Amino acid sequence: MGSHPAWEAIYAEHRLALLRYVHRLTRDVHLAEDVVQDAFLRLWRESHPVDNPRSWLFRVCTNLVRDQSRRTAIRERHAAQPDEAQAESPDEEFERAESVRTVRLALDRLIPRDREALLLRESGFRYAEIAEVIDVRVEIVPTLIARALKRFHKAYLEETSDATS
Amino acid sequence: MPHPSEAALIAFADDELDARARGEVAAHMDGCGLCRHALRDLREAMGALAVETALVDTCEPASWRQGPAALPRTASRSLSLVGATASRPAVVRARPVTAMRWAAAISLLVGGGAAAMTAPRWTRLLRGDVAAPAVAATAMPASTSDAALRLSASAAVSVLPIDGVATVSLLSGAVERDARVIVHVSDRRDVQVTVTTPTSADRVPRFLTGDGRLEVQLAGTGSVVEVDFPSSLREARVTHDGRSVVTVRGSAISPIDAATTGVALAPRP
Repeated sequence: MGSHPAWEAIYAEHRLALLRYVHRLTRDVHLAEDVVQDAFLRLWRESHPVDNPRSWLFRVCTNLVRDQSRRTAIRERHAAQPDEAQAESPDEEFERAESVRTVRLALDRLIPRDREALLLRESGFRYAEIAEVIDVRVEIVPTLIARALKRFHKAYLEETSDATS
Repeated sequence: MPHPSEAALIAFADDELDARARGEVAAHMDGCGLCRHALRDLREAMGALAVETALVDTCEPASWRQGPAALPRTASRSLSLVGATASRPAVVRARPVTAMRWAAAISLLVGGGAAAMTAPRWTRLLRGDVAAPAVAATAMPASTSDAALRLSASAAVSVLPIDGVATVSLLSGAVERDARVIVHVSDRRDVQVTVTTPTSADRVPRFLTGDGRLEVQLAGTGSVVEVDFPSSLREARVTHDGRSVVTVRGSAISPIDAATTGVALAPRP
């Protein structure tokens, strides 16, 4: 793969999407950068042709994140912070932080595969690609996503209720 | 037809069913409040999730967007989706080319009224510049290349290329039943999303957004959805109520699925 003339194009095309995907999974900027760099290095060193670099890269990133046993701690440590460039009133900032926290807690209650499927879907992946990335049959992807959404929604409502009670 | 499974509903919402299955689910949904309610629940979950990811994205370093994948900050394509009542024959808004951002902007204008933040709290979380709420029946600039894609007696899509900036407008009178517009783009890099919700809407417009996809449920009447894409975007696709109606590839904008959807080019009235 390293000598492939499209290497730079692949890097340019997928780098940001991969960073965002891993960032969404981990809420850790530095981990996202490390994982994505690792994935590209693996692609560079890959001796076999890669038919679909996007799916390949996302699959590698997914597996690398799965391997991070400390992910939960990382997520707690690196809760999403407001963009410094966007001035907010204290009320807006508080509401935004609370909303992020509520949804994050709900998302964290999903099993990793469900969370990955939802975030891949959010990344614009079609079901066939989601199946390829998380290594499941494409037929079960809608079932998996529907179940994950239901679980997420239930958890979200519970977290919202907890936050307001 | 028995009630579709939730998996079928989500596949329906994601435009992942084949034409036959989609038709069956759509026909069932027309007469089944339970399934419509179930789909609304799923979409609500999608909305919350979409906001979460969008908020996480605001925390990413600016350097990520300034890397080798950075897009030019010049010309952009614009795509507007407008829902109008039967009494509002043509709700079209012209955007000055110079004011277009290369990032995306979406606005929902219902009834042409002033916008206010009355949405569920997650819809208040996506912020950005709001497109001017100008709604005028005659605002569409004259162009010999104007064309309208007539979807039905109450809905139409118009395509208007202006100086390299393409504007696509969807005119729909069927917004009371959760008319649904999905914009699929090849890459959401640096695309920003802004949603303004109306004070006069009985129901709150919902939207979903994520890399590669943006979904808007038009609620109330006269809803306006507007999206600007970077000019370097390779591909975009628009579906309305589950039907693919327009594709954008490079500088080419064209209707698709004409054979199955009945969408056909027609002179702009």
